[in-house]
Amino acid sequence: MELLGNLLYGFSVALTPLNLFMAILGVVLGTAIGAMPGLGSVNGVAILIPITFAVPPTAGIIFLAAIYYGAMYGGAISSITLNIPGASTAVATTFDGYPMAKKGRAAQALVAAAVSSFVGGTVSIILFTLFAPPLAEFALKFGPPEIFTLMLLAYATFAGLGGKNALKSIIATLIGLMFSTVGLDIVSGRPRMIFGDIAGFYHGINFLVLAIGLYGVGEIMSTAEERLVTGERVQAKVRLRDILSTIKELASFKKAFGIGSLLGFFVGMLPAAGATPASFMSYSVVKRFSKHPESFGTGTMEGVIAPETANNAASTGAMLPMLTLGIPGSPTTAVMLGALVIWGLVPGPMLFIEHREFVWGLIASLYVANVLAVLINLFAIPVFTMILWLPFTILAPLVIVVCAVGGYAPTFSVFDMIFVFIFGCAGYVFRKLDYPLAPMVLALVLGNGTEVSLRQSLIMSHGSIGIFFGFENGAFIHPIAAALMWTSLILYASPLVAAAIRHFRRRVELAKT
Amino acid sequence: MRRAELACALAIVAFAAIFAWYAQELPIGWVKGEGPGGGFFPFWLSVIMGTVAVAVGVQEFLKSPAPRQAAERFFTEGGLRQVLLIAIPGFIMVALIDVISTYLAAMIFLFYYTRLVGKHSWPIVILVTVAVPVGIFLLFEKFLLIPLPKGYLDEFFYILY
Repeated sequence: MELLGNLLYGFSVALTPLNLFMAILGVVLGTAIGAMPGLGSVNGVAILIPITFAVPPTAGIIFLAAIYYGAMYGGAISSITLNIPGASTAVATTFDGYPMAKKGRAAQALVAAAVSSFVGGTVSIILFTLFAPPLAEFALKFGPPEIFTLMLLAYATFAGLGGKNALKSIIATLIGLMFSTVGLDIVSGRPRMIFGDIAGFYHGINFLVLAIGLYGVGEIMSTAEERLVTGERVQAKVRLRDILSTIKELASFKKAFGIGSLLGFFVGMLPAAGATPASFMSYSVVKRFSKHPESFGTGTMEGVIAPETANNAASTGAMLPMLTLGIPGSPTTAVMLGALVIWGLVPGPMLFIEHREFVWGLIASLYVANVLAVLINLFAIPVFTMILWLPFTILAPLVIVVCAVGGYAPTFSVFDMIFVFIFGCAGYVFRKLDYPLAPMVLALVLGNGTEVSLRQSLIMSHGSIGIFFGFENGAFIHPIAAALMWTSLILYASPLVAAAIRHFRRRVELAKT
Repeated sequence: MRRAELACALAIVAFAAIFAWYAQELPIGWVKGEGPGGGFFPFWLSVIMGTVAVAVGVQEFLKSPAPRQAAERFFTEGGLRQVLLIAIPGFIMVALIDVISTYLAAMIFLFYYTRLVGKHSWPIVILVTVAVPVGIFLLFEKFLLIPLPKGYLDEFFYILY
């Protein structure tokens, strides 16, 4: 088979000393960067591109892809041990990862995350290898109406997840969307929502700044209140049989693995939506199809498996349209695309023909990097769980300082540092009042894409909303958009319908007495 | 808690109103030949949000207060103090960063919290106060090449490069 031949050729490229070294280096650096709050795969890839100038492009892309992977693994580490997402891709891992750690199951959560990442990565690489040409063609069909309705669906799944109150979840989503409008208007290029003329708003509200503020500073403030001054230590001993028993435990969650990998790959493949939205969506979908949805958020392994398989799967998926079409599947791959341009390579079918060693070398090295990453992560777990021994009164100021610096790193702006703290206070208040934070950060990530696709769709339909239900100029030509739209509406309506049913049941019961 | 909920809902409505006001700086309707204007998205988002926030406020208002719930306070006993003890110095630290550099501001903050709030012993206090800024320096400036703000003390750091 031609495919097998290409793959074997790729391995011969990937396993050369230089490329292997770049893969290892990338995985280690990526894991470290991913674990650090404030820096994610995007920053790591961007900052480390200059290193690739010293090596041939194949080694360069292997290096960047390995960083991308490593960050997916590493992000889970601080999510689980500190409840601070190491990267935006690991926010969803905090939902169940940290509760597991608080229950004393940090080691299990870390093993689960590492193995999930490995499974998600491997499955998605296999899918990538098999379906590169036809899948890319299908993703091309997603025009503005489809993209908009898909994002609407993503928000809708959260209306169901958000605490007890769907209305508050909607507000959280809207806040995130509104934050995304701050800065330069993409379509017209004019500054927007800068509240008079506050310079700090020109570059918009950065996702990492919001995430670090809400989940970093906000969490510390909440914890400060709960724990008062006592430094509470969380016991975490890791034994080899813990790793093995965890792996056995994971085998019972095949559904979560399956959903996470497939959903992650597909979402990653879509333009602009990458590992972050994939991890959120996977979490909510796995929860809906789980036998024990009420256990999500309290520290169930399924809640760690879902986002971790998805984010690794999505990073592979995101590379697919980038390589085949030149359309980045995620923010990180957008940066990687920039690197391709610097190296003088043009993405597209010609890349597969003229630079076989580049494409297949990359694909093969993804397999290699995945294996390396899971081994490194599994055997460095004892090191990571030692973080939990720190008393709160040392951990808290340390985290605050790291968050402040982390707020500066993405945009080099002290203004954003201040925002980290403002969002921290907001996060603290929202936690107390049961406003869910996740929809807020998700909406900020997807906000620009949502708006652009909304505007483009309306332009296409000359102002008619019917386009989201499939009709453009009278013809039903967007069935995918219609399907997504109806699904979203049903999901939005379901909590209201359920509440109405409950209300009327109570009325009937009261009337009976 | 009820008062806090209503206050929050009110704040969100106010936020939505301010947002809507600034949104209409750019056209919020249909711009001929261009499609929806720049203000379209934020404006209508604010309108929707304001409406939903009013709904949340009304929902809270209509809830018949069970005696225990009405008495549930927003801040737990002693909790507010703890939160302020870390939040306010945090803000002060950020304010100081632009004056005396990230590292000095961080050192002051770390010293304050570990010693005065955490009441740790001097060896630990000094270890943390010195090790963390040094670690951050090595990590961000040397390794990741992200220069951190140094306020007015820029020149003093040149020797380290």
